[in-house]
Amino acid sequence: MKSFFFVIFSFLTITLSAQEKYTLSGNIKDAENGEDLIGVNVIITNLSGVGTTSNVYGFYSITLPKGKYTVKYQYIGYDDYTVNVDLSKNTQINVELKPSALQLQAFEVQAEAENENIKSTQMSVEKIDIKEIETIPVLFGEKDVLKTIQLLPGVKSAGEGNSGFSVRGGNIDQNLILIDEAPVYNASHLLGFFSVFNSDALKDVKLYKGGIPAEYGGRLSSVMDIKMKDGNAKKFSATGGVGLIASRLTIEAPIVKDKGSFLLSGRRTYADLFLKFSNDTNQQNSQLYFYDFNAKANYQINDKNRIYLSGYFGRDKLGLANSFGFDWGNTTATLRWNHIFNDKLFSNTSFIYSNYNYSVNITRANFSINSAIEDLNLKQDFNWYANESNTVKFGLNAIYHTFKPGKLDADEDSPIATIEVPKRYSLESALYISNEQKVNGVLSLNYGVRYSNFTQFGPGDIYTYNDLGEVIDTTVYANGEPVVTYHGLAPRLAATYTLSEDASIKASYTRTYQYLHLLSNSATSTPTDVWMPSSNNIKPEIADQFALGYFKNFAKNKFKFSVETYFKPMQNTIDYRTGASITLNPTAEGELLYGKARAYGIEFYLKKNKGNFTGWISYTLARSERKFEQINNNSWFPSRYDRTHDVSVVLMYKLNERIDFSGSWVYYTGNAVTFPSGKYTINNQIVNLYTERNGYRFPDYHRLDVGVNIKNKPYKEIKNPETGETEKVKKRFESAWNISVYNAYGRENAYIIEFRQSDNDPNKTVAVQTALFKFIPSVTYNFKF
Amino acid sequence: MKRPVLFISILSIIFLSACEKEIKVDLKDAEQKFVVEAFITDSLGFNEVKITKSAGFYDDNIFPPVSGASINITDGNSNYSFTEIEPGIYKSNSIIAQQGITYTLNINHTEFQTSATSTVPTKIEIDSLAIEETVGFGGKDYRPRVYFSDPANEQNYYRFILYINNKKQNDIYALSDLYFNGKNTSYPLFGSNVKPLDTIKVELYSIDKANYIYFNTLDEIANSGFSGTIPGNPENNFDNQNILGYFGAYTVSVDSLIFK
Repeated sequence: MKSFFFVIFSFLTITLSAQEKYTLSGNIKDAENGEDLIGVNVIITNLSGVGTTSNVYGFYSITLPKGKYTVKYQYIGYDDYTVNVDLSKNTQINVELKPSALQLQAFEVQAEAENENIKSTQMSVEKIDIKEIETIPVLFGEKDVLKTIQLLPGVKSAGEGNSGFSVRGGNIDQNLILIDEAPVYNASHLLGFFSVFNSDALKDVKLYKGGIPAEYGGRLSSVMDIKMKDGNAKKFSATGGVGLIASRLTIEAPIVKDKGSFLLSGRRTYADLFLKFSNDTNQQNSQLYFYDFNAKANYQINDKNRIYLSGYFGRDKLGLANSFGFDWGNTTATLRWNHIFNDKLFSNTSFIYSNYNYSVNITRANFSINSAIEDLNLKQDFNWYANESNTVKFGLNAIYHTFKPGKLDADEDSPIATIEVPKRYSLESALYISNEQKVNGVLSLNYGVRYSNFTQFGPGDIYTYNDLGEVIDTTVYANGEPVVTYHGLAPRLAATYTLSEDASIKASYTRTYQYLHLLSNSATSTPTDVWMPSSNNIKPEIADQFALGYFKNFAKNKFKFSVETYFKPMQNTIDYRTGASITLNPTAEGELLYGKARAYGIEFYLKKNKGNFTGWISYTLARSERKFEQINNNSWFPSRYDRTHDVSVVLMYKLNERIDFSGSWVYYTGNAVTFPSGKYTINNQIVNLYTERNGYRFPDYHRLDVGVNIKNKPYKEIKNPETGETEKVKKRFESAWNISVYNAYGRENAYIIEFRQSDNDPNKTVAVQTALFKFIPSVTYNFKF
Repeated sequence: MKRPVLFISILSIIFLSACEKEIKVDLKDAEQKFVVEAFITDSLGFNEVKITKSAGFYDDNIFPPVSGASINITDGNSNYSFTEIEPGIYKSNSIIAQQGITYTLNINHTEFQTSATSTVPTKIEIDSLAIEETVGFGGKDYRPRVYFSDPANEQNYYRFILYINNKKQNDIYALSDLYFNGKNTSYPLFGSNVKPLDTIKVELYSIDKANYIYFNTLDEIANSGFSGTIPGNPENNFDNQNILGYFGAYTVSVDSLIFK
C-alpha cells in the first residue's frame, strides 16, 4: 500500500511551482430559500477548462495564479452569476444564485454550457432531479425516488410496484442507501410497494452504479446518496399534498435568518381509516398504515463552523383487533460539523446512528418477537483543494454494528418457549484517499484506494457447519474477543479523455467489499428479512467492476447521450438451500450456499433536458449469472435479476405555464424463475417436480403510466397605478392537481404464477397468473406557500 | 410460521384490483421419476410403501402405480417383508416400530433400487383437542388446536394429519420444537375451516429430523407463490438421488372430537 500512496503524492507535486498563487473559496446558496447548492459549476471563463464544483455542503475552493479573472457560477435551473475578481490575496466569495425567472417551468434549463457530464471523471452516476420525481406518474400517485430511479439504465425493479432495485445485476442488498449519510437498512414500506423516502424533504439524490468514489464503501453494487433539504433560511414556507392513500406536510423556517434553519416533514397513509367504517368490530380495530417523519436543523456558528442535525423516523403498523400486532421501521440520526480549516481544507465530521427493527406481538399466545440492527457510526471526511488541478479527498469511517437477528419472548404460560438467535457484534472500519486530477486539457483522472477492516467480536456461541449445513462444532467467545477478521484493499480508478467540448470517453475500475448480508429467501422485500455480519462461515462479498463509456452532447447540450458497458465479476455470493428457513433460526447460516456471480451489459441513454418536450429513453442489454456447486450441477444459471432487455421511455410535455403532461413506458424481459417440469403425488396431494433453478422466465413485462399536472394560476395581474400597465405578480400560494393512471392500457403483468390443481377439473393441473395493478387512477393535490 | 396467510390478507386488502387467470406456460417434460412414500408406525398394520411414477405437468393427474418391487425393512436383527396388496401399494402385517430403533428400507425393482433409514423418536401423546375461533379480515372461522407436551431434553419433530368427517385433509403440518422446547404446548391447525357438528380427528406423528426437513420444505414450496420461497425438490433420505418421496419410522397418537 505504501507504494500506492507514493504514487498519489508524486502526482500531486507535478503542478507545484514557484508561481504566486491564491485561493478563491466560498459558499453557494439558493437566493430564495438559502439551501446550499450542490454541484454548482464554478468556471474561470478566461482560463479554458479551469473550474471546480461546489461540494455537498455548497463549499467551493480553487487556487489560481495571481491575476484578474472572470468567475461564472452556473447551475441548472438558476440564473448564471458572473463576478470579476482581482486575485491578489486569498479571497472569499459567497454567492446566492437566483432560480431562473422561468422557474415554474420545471424543465426549462437555462445554462448554456451544461457539459459537466462530459468533463467530470465520474461515470455510471445518475443524478435524479427532485422535480422529475414530482412529475413522473407512479403507483397511487405517491411520488417516490426509488421508483423513479428504476426508469434509468442499469437499474431494475425488484418486481411490480416494488421499491427494491437491482443495479447492474447485483442483489437488492448490495445497494448502500444513505439518508444524510446514515445507512437505511430497509428502504421500503408495506412489503416494498412504497419507499421510506418522502420526496418533499429531499434535496439531492445521486446513484452511483459504478466508478464508486473512495469515500463510499460497504456494498457491492451501488451507492444511493440522498441528502435532505436544510430548511428555508430566508422565510417560513410550507409544502404539502393530499393524495389517494397518503398526505404530506413539510414546514421550513429560519432559526436565525441566513444563519440557521429547520425543516419538519411528515407523511402518513390512511388506508386503515376506511376500516373504521366496517361493520365488523375486528376490522374496525385493525391497523394498517405507515408514517415517516423527517427533521433537520442547521446553524452557521461563524464563517468557519456550521452544524447540522438531521433525523428520520418511520414506521409501518399492522394490527389485527387485539390479537396480533406487527410493526417495523428505520430510525436514523446524523450530527454533522462542517469546519473550514482554511481556504483549501474543508472538513466534515459526522456522528451517525442508524437502526432498523421489527416486532411482532401475539397477545393471544402471550409472545412477542423482536429483531434489530443498530449502528453507531463515526465519519471524518476531508476535502483538500490542493491546487487548480488536484482535489484530494481523504478520511476515515468506523461503524460499530449490533445485530439482534431475532428474539422470541414468551410468558411462562405461553405454549411457546423463549428463543433467541444469538446477537452479533462487529466493527467495520475504513480509511480512504483519492485524488481528482486534471492532467491536461483533455485528460482527467480520479484515483484512490479504500482500505477496510471488519472484525466480529464475542460474546457468543459461534457455530461451525458441515457441507449439509448441520452444526458440527460450537466455540464460545468471551466479551470483546475477536471471532474473525477480514480486510481488503479496494482500488478506485477513473479516467476521462475529452474528445471535444461535447464528447468524451471514460473508463473506470472499482473494487468493493461487502461485510453485511441480508438474509431473505423470498423474492420481495419483507420486514422480517435479517441482516447478518460476515462470520467464520459467511465470507465478505467482493466485486470488481470494469466500465467503459462514451458520452456525447448534441445541439448545444440540449441532448445528452451516453453508452456504457460494464463487466462485474463477484465472489462469495450467497444463495439458499431448497426450502431454507431463515426467520428466527439460530442456525440460519447453515441454510446458506456460497458461490460466485458475474454481470455484464451495455446501457444506452438519451436525454433531452431543454424545451417544452423533455424526457429520456434508456435501453439496457444485460446478463446476470450465478454459479454454485450445489445448484444446477455447478453450471452458470441466470439470477433473478437477469433481464436481457430493459427499456424505459419517459416523456414530459409542457403545454403552457399551467399544464404539463407526462408519460412513462417500460418494457423488460421477464425474470428468470423456477417453474416445474412435471408433477407427482405425495399423500394424494399433487407436488410439482423441478429439474433446475431459474430455468424458465416470466412473460415479458410492459406498462404505460400517464399523468397530468394542472397548476393554479401562478400570477396575479395587478394594474400598476402609476404606469397604468398590467403587471404579473407571483402568488405566494401555489397549488397543483396531479392526476395519473398507473398501467394505462391495463396490461396484466404476471406478479406470481402458481402451478396448481385446476379449480374446474380436479384431474388437471394448470398455471395460474396473478396480476396486481390494472388501471390504477390517482389524484393528488399539492400545495406550497 | 405461515407467513403467506399474512401476506395474502395484506395484499387482498390493499390491492382489490388483483386478478387471477389461467395461462399457458411452455414447460419442458422432465424424465419420469419414481416416487416412494414409505412409513411404518408403532401400531400393528399401520404401515405402507406406495410407489408411483411422476407425470408431465399438463398430463391428467394420473400417477401410474409401480408393481413388482421387492421390499423389505430391517432393524438389524429382524427382516420384515412387504407384499403388494394392490398395484403399487405394499404392506407388512408384522412390523411394529420400536422407539429408538433405526430401520432400513430396501427396495428392489427391475428399473431401480434404493434404500433409506429412519429412526423412531420418543412417542409424544396428544393431551387433548379443542376448537377455537379465529379472527381474520374475513370474519369468524373455526379451527382445531392440538395440545401436547414437548420433552425438554431432546429435539423433537412433529407432523399432524387432520381428518374432518373422516376425510383426510391435504394440509401439511410439520414442526420442530425449536419454538416450544420443553413446554406444555399447543398448535393450531392453520388454514383448516371446521364447522359445528363436524367430527374432527387428528393424528400426531413423532418424526425424525430428516422427515421434518422433508415435510417442512414440501410445505414451504407448496406456498412458494406468495412467500416467494425458491422452489425445488425437497431433500429426502433416499440414497438414490433420483428417487422422490420419503421413508419415515414414526410413532402415532390419535385423538378426536365432535365440534358442538
